[in-house]
Amino acid sequence: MAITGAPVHENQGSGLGDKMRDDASFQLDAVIDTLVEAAPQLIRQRQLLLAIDWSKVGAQTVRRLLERLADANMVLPAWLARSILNAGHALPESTATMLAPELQLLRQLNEAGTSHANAQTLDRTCELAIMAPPSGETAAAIVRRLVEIGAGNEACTVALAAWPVAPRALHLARDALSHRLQTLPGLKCAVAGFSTTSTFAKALVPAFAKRGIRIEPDEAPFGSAIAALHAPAGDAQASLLLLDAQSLIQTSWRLGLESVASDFAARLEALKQAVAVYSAESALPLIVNTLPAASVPILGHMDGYHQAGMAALTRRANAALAELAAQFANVVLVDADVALSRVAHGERSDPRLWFYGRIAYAEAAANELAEAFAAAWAMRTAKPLKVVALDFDNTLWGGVFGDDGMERLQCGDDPPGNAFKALQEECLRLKAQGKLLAGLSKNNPDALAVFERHPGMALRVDDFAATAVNWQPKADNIRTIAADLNLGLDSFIFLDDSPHEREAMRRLCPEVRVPEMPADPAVRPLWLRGLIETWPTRLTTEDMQRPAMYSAERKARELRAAASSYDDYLQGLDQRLTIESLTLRTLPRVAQLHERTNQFNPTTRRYSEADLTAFMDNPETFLTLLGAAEDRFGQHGIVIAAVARIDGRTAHIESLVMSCRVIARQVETAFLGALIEALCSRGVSDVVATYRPTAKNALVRDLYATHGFQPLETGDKESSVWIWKAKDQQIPASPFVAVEWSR
Amino acid sequence: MLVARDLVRPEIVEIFAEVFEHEGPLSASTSPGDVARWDSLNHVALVSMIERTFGIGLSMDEMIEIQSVGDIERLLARHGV
Repeated sequence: MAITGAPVHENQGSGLGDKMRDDASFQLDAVIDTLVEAAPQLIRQRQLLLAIDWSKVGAQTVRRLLERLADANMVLPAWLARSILNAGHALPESTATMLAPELQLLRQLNEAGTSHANAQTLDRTCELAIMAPPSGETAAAIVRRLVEIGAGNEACTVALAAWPVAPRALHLARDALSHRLQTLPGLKCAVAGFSTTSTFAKALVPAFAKRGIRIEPDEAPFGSAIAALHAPAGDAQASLLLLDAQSLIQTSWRLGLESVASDFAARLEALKQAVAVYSAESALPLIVNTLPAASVPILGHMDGYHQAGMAALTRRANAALAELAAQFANVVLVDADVALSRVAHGERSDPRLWFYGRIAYAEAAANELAEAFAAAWAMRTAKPLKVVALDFDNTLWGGVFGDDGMERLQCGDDPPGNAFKALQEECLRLKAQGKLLAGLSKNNPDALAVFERHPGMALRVDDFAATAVNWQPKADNIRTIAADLNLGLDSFIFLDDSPHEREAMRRLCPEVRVPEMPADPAVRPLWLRGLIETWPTRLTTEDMQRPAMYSAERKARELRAAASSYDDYLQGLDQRLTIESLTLRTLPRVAQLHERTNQFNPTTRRYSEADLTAFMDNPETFLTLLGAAEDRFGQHGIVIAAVARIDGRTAHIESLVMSCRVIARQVETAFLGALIEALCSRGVSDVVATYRPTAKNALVRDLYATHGFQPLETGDKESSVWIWKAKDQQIPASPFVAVEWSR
Repeated sequence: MLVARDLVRPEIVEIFAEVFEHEGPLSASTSPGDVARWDSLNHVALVSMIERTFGIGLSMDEMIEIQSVGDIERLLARHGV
């Protein structure tokens, strides 16, 4: 029981109630004062303070609590702050930083009191409620406060957003809801079932109101679903059919197990025929739920495979419904197990309600089903989602490409990168279902190379129907992509880990759907699966072919435009590469490059400082060069190095390593040119290079082929050996990198 | 406990306002005939609200037993509330 003291609100309850409390309250105040004095100790032990009903404690006592904590050098813990805010108290702004967003808003509302309502706070409250519905008690507290300050419309919005998780909030906003309903367009729906449908019909009202519709449910008489389907009400615009297992699988066991199955088959046949008749005579939508999995089996562990088992019968019914949905386009199935996922198995039905009034679903379950029916209706009429626009850094991979470089980006088979790879796999699933993927990243265009060159990526550049990787605002880029694809912004959803980018997109492109993506990458893959906006209603062959069509179109488009633009980009980078021979000063960095580089490393020879010193001491045989890169954005330092062994007129490139930071910018071309030039000046005519494949260096498989090297005969299957001859080939050079020698 | 015979607890007043939108007077003898929306459907909502507010669970017999506000008070007393 809650411990209560003097009421905050003088007018709370009736005068009679206060009279009842009089005698006890004096002592209670003393008890609460004692608890507050002991708060620092009690908080450490998580004792007693949560048992206080803070709504009945004066503001003075809350202030005293904060003083006590300040004396003890303690901050108010989040759990206690939630409890105090939910009770309607104001807390000082200094406590706000550690609060969840919905509590920060509640804090502002509580602080404003009944005096005035800050319009901006009200807007933020509604937006947040829609994006991330607050939990039960907090939703109720926010709605209560909004009602008190006369912001009925906002109270209604928040309550509907939090419904059906927080049904109490809706009770508090009921007056505002009835006002809201008067402004909404009506929808007449016939509601039928084999059990009592009234709790479900009642729950349909908020479920549809949430989606801007005033539903007028017209309930068929009890248990008359078959008759209702044969003769639908004249003016209904849709029919909602609520099925439940108890009614459909009701039979007499005296008949024996065999008959149970055949009896059930007959009922199912009657239902199928009724749906067929309904669908043949009117094209009106018929939304119907599947049967949820039973919480108690009839035949124990045999339930699933014996034909009279509850699970087996349920499965048969659901298979029959699936056939109907496949056969008739007007039939929309609501999967009850999906709809009821938030309600514990054993709490989906309430036997008391079943025997009391043949009510098949407990209140929470009826609410969730109503919500799912309304969502199914809204999905039928909503603009379909076609494009999933994706951020790169910290969304598709962990880390920031521009800061961390390609090598350090997290994405692959090991934690924490596997969570990012799993999200990429989910994107591929959406693509397989016919959604287009678009890349929307604030990065240099070479970030796209990550998909081709980082070994952990599930997505390839080809998987994107369009990409915009530049430093323009994402709202501008998404408009360009929409124009390129010839699709409206309302067919886009945008996933980005940054709250700022999400906020900006909502402001600048309100048509784009921008869900609140969870901060923890581990929960995002399942979150994306559960994101209702991405759920398909029907999958056609065309859906599944769509990405391929767009991909071909995209390639053609890119051939026209991108080739020149990437060159433009490289041109604009204004790159300089300074080449020098290895010295003691540069020794540690060159050793580090050899040690760390996995991808741009054709031979993977890990030369240590000692090895490199030995080469340095033998300059007749070894040439070790390194290059420091810089561009208009800044200096990259030493990013590339090579060791060549000179053997008369032939030189062997023993190692060539480059940091992925400067990949796809032709730095390697310029460097290779400088290396060959240096070798030639020492009388070398042939340069031999080897590529030894590893799990990670596929990036440089074609490095030598693309720089004019010819394959040399090789006995080793694994490695390939290449040769460059001065008499046949040009020295490699890049028009985009200026080479300077530092001697 | 100080439960006067003819007094109705503030929580019950609140519940009646929420479930039945009933703002009129309540007494122990108030029954479904006196409250416009006290029908069998809302009776279910009344019971679940009583359970939630007072942290108790009622049996089906008890659900059926509730035929007046006084019945609710007696039930609560029996459940030690």
